[in-house]
Amino acid sequence: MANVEGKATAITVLTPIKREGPLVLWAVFWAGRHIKETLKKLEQLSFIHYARWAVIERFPDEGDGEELGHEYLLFESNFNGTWDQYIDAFSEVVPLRMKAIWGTSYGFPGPLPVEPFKEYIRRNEYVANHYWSAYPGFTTTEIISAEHVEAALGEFQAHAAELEPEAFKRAYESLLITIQHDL
Amino acid sequence: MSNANNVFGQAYSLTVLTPIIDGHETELAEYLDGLPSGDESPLAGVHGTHFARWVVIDDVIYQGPDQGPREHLQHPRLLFTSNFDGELEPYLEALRTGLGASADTIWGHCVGYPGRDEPAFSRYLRHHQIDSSLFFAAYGDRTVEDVKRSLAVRAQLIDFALRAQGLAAPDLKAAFLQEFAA
Amino acid sequence: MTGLDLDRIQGFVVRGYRLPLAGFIFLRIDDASRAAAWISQVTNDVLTAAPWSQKPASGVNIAFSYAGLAALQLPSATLASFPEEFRLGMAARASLLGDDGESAPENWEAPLGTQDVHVLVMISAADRQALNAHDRRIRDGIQRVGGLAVVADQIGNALPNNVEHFGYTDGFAQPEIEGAGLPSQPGDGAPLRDGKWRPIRAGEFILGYPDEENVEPEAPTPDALSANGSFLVYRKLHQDVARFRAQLTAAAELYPAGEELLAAKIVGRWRDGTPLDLSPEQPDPAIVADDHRNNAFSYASDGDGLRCPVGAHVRRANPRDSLPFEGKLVNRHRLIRRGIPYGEPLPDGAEDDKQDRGVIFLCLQASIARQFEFVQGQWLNRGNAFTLGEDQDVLVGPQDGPGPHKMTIPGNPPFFLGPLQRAVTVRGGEYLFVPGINGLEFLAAAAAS
Repeated sequence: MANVEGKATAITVLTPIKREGPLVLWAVFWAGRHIKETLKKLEQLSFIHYARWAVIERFPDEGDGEELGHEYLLFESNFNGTWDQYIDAFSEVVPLRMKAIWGTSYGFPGPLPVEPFKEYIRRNEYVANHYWSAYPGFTTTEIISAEHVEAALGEFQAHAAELEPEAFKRAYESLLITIQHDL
Repeated sequence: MSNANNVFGQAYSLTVLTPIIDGHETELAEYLDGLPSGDESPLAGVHGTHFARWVVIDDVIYQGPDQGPREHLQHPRLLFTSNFDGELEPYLEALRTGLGASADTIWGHCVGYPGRDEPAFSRYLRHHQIDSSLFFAAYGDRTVEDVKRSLAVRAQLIDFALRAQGLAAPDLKAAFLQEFAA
Repeated sequence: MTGLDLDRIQGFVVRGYRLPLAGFIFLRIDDASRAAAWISQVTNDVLTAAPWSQKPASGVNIAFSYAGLAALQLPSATLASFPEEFRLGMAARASLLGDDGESAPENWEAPLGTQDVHVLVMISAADRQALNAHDRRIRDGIQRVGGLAVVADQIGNALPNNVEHFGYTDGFAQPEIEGAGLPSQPGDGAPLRDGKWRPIRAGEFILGYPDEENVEPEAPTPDALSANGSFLVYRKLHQDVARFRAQLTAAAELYPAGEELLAAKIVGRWRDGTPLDLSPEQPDPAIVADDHRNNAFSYASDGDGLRCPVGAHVRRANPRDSLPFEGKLVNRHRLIRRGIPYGEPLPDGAEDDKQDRGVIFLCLQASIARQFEFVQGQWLNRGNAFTLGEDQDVLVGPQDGPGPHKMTIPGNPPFFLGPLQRAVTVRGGEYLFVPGINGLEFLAAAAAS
């Protein structure tokens, strides 16, 4: 039972949503999908591989699903670093976003200060029984860097062999200069 | 039922929530806890999977009187989430064939699981699917192959750059062409 | 802004004494009530942060491990209120800190990392005479009261010109603490948008004061115990000087600008302390000599690291404004450093003499997990926060495991330093609580009953 697999950490959180919550969430998530600002911030918080929020109106069963007194908000994510660091960063950087999303859940103490928020998440978190990654040894930024490196190297390789040695060396150095921050 | 919000780039977020047969949750949890990680995991056989997990949810968690009266799930749930490449239908097929007998061992503890025959298997998972409201993928247009291949290329270039430092131009060119033979 | 209760805070939390010698005495508590009596006595001797009219020739400070607090037989609710990482101790945090291989706790110098280390007495002194005299007084006091045993000791000694063993002048950058009443240097605090700096909230380092979130940090209970206190990380780091010099010299053969610039690129400062960002081409003694300049730099116009590499030691340890979100990802991870070298220097050009030398790394913070462990585990031992892949800090990174073990020196073209070998090995360490005077009085009273 573990939330850690190599450099990847899993988080799974389930919280009951207030009566008016689902409507608010619909708007919040719409904004999240459409407003570039939000996604940009998530990208800049460079340690998230994937993250999702889902509203559970009814818990599926063989029939129409089990309806509890409330709808539930599921948060599921894969990221690098420890759990503490992840929540700290979210709290510091996107507190309004956190408030907009979890403010619709019961018991949410607010995104700042961070300790009560961490307590809240801890209380509502489930540890994965089996957690798997296709590339556990690698972080999000390495993966994004690798994409840049591969593309640049491919371009270089396309004409490299034809160059005379001196021109080759200059072109190779040019390649390194372009991708030095991804190596 | 598939929903555009499950998708980001070419990545898909699948969430499946199935009721566990009463009394089976401990055995199921122990089985899942005991599964090997990495290449030995049943998930390693499911092509296109970036990250996936199984989580046994015994019950929901009460937040206190503000929420109203305490409430409970009638049955514990098994949550399965996956972040994978491409469309849902082919992935459900990949789960069916890739997990093999483990699918039966795991979902066999769940109410109504029909086994691995099609179309019952994929219909069961789709019936128990929860759509995402918001899904973010940091490299959503990269498949698992893309990711692994480019990581390997990057490692290879770093290694080369270290070794080739200071080589004279003709030696550099020769070494590069040898290392990165097309 | 809150003023600090300076005469209740132990001195070295707020100010560096700049005394060249340190004596560290580790004690084990064998009898709680006798230990209580000793704590009472030594409290009178403890050097506080109250301003001094004349620098003392020596001073004493005292700290406790979790095992020590438990040996004082504090109530279990009190013990449980201490943070998890402190209760577990540094040895138990080895995988988070990258303390494996030669740095693994099983290779540490006993009794560091064991349950036998309870109290640290730290004597700071101006010279050998003062150190020996104070040391004698402390040991006599311990013997007279009984109930405590000396289990280890260590001397720290500054090197001439304030260099550390790899040859770098140290001690320029410290966080400016709000309310400490000390003269401030530009660059010490948190960067502001207009290029100025502001002090860091005291609660980032001292319990019982508002922190960067404007609340008092989580602290052990009761307040009488924790207010004015701090957490200390003690870490004995052996430096392999011969290996470091050899790696540098070998790499410099291929580095066109020469060994001294390469040495500067690794750290982010020239050996004399000149910040690379202020003077990228040569050291500048005028900058070094001026406290208003020697730490007054930001990375705002050096995003690519062409002057100070992104992976340079000082930039990793304190990224200033080089992470996005205006310092929000940096201001809560600052450290107060109070370390001191130990051991005799290895003369230039000398063969490895296998002597023990290095630094007694000391840092203070309100949260060991959020501050020291984060800086060590995420910023020094990993590259992810800076998009540096697997690269680790050249000075202190373990250079273990898979990965190319390199550092990229950004440039046109870039230079790759590697494959690197470990230059620093952990010989042992402890997490300790530094009570305020009120906390010491509380401990003495609680253990006596």
